[in-house]
Amino acid sequence: MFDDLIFALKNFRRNKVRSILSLLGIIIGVASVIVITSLSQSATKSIKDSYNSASLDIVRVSSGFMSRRRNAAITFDETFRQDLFNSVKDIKQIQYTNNMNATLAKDDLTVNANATAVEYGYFDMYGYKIEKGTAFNVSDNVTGQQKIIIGSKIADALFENQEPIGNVITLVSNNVTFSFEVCGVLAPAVASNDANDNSVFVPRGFYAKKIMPSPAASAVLVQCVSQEKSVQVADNIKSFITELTGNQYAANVSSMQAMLEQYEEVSGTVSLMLSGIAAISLLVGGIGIMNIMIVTVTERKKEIGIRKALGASPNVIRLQFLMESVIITVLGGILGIIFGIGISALVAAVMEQSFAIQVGACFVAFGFSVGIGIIFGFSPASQAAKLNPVEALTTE
Amino acid sequence: MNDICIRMENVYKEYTVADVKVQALNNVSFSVKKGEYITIMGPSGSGKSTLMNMIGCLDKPSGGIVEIGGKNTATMNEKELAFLRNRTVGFVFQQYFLLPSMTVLENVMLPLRYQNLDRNESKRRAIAALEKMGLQDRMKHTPNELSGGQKQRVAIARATVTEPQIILADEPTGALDSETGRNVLELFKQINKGGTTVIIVTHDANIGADSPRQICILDGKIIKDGKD
Repeated sequence: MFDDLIFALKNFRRNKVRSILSLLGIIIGVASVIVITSLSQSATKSIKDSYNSASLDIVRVSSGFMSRRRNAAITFDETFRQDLFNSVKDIKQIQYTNNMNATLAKDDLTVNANATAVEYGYFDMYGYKIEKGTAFNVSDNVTGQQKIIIGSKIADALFENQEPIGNVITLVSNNVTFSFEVCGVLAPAVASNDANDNSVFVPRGFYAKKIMPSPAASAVLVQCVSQEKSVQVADNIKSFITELTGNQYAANVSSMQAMLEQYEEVSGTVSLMLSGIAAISLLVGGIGIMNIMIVTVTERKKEIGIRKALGASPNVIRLQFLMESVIITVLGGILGIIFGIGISALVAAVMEQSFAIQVGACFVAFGFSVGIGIIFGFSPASQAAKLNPVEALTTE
Repeated sequence: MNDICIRMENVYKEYTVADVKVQALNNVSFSVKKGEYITIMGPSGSGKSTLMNMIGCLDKPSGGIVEIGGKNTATMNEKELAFLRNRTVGFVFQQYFLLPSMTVLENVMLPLRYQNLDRNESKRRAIAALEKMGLQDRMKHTPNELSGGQKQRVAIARATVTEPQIILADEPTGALDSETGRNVLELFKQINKGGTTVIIVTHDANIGADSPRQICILDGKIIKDGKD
């Protein structure tokens, strides 16, 4: 066995160019398996990172297309909130938010930011961490306190060397100026979703008191009792609104979970398709191996004859040539894995995605290449084993 | 005690070449005792190669009995033939038939590998066989780096390393100059003195004349069996 291995490696080295060329199919096949699994893994990981995992149980509702028919548009007022909560099962809480464009100023510094008026519990619902200070309390919201929570980049821009908490900043929205006391700074976002870093949040009570009385929300955030229920809840909300307005486009209802599932479905289909391509290239690679092994057996008839004359049984000869084809495919598999990891790392770096390798996929790809060596090497090896020693010895 | 190592009884061998039947061996019978030194002679096409293949367990008869080392090869399968060949017969060929990609030592170790012998033990025995041939300083060379006579001595070391009952040499001096050829034949005689049966297949009458028993074959039949 061991000597066969050494001999096979020597033969590989002697026919380097030929062997490597015949390996290309296997290398490409294995590398594509690795790249495909790694890329889809990386992409899924990026998507999951950007959807804060705590937000997977949230369904977002915003107004949809306008309709000329009366009552066809939806208003997210307090009646709607009550009706929605009573009509759709598995809702834990409903949060209303309003967006404002705002310019923030502190001394002679100004920045533009997305300002969102939020209700009590908003940060807990999304799992956003307050790095410094505190979130709004219930009374801040009810009494409409002029307190503000700022994103980490805003904090850096306005308070370079100062302590933001307790400091006062100016917020200008629609040419009206308000002053706010900073009560909290959000922790920087962990992944690619860094929109919060440039955002500020004010109590929705303030919005109702100073900007628009009894405001309709610009977005409704529905937290479900569990992540699993969120797809169903989103569907139910959609039918509830359609029934209410008679317009199925009255609102956009989206759940992170549904988007993630949809994404996974699409990426699954793409992976399956690409795996098909990988399988075909492995098959072609296998045929290449078979071809090279048939050539090898034909070329080495005399050697086979000599070995037989010295007492090698058919099984020993078969094993020897099988070993050679497996060695070729194993080397192909290893090279394929190396190339695959390299290419995926490169692609991940270029696309600025997080890089993930499925170790399982490496093992599967490696196993595949060994399997191909055995399957496609078997017929040429058997051909060698069956050679008539007298005939083999007399070949030139 | 049975001291017959080769027994042929009414052996026939037919080939079909391009739809024409060729009678390579026609009712051949003879036997060889252990420790004999025999020359098998005949012109090309006479059937002497076929006879050699029978003795070497490379081929089976179409009819009759071929017993090598007391075992009938006619009923054996490939695996059993390989086993018998490995333990009973050592081949020496005119063209040496060493494997060019292996060192001299590895070539000599090869038949022992097919006995699944321990690697160190094979090595020890191969080195001993090469030393007997005076090739101890050529062991790490490849066959291409050796002269014809050296190659043939490697081949003889390879044939004797398994300590077979029979050494079967096919034109062993055919590719050598006469001086080297004589030396090689001398080696065979020494091996024969150790009790090993030596069979030399040749068409060189001088070699035949030198041998205690000659079997001459023509058109598949034995036409002479004995001493000159």
